[in-house]
Amino acid sequence: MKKHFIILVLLFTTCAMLSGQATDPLVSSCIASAGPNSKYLKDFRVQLGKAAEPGELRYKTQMSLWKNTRYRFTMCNSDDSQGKLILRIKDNTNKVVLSSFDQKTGKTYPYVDFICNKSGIYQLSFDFTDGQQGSGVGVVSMIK
Amino acid sequence: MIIGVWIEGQYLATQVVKKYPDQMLKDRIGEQKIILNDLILLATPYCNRDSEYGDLCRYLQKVKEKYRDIRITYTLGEPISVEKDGGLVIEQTETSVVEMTDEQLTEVIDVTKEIRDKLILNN
Repeated sequence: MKKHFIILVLLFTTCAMLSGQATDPLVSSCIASAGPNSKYLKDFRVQLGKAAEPGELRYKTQMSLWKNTRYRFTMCNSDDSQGKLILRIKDNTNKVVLSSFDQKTGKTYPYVDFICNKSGIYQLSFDFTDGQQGSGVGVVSMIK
Repeated sequence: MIIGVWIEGQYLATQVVKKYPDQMLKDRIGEQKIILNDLILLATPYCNRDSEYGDLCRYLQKVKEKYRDIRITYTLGEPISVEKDGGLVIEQTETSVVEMTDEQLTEVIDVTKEIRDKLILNN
């Protein structure tokens, strides 16, 4: 198992390095649009059909975010998407800490910078505006 | 795989903090308490699979024991949002604070090295 353990660590490191080189053009262009001062961390490829009823955001995932770090969440859509990709982040107490969609004005922000001051595991939820069909990517980067 | 990467990362961080006792790095090491519980949950279904998985689970429990008295406290606050260059900038005013003594840090450094060496160097 020890040999396997070492091989797995090396394999994971190699995969992590390779995964930084995105082959999906939408992901690549979205990473580039995050700006020169950003360091790519992770992307979430979101493809959803039209929701039966607009409501709770459908694509959910988790991510550790660390204090004293400025993160940039960049949302990009493919040309054939009906809606715009939106993101909402909740902390471990289920409190909304960030939303790229302003419900009052209906405005959607293409990117959100989050200055994190509380380390923890956060829930990221993505969907397309009004629960519409869409294809997009959410890129997480760290701002230097 | 995930646990292996975590242990190696933790080992590197704890070895660096020994030489360069930077406060932010100390905090990062203390904050691993948050992740550790999730890693143990991930490993739990495999703990009885064979003796080596059993050892791995015991190692994680040993690390958890060293983290037991390290506290992470939180202060409350509402996020501040500002529009800038077409995007949104949100500053979180809630904060997390790691309460960890030098002795506790030393224990984490030692136990991390111990289990990492057992896994990698077989000693």
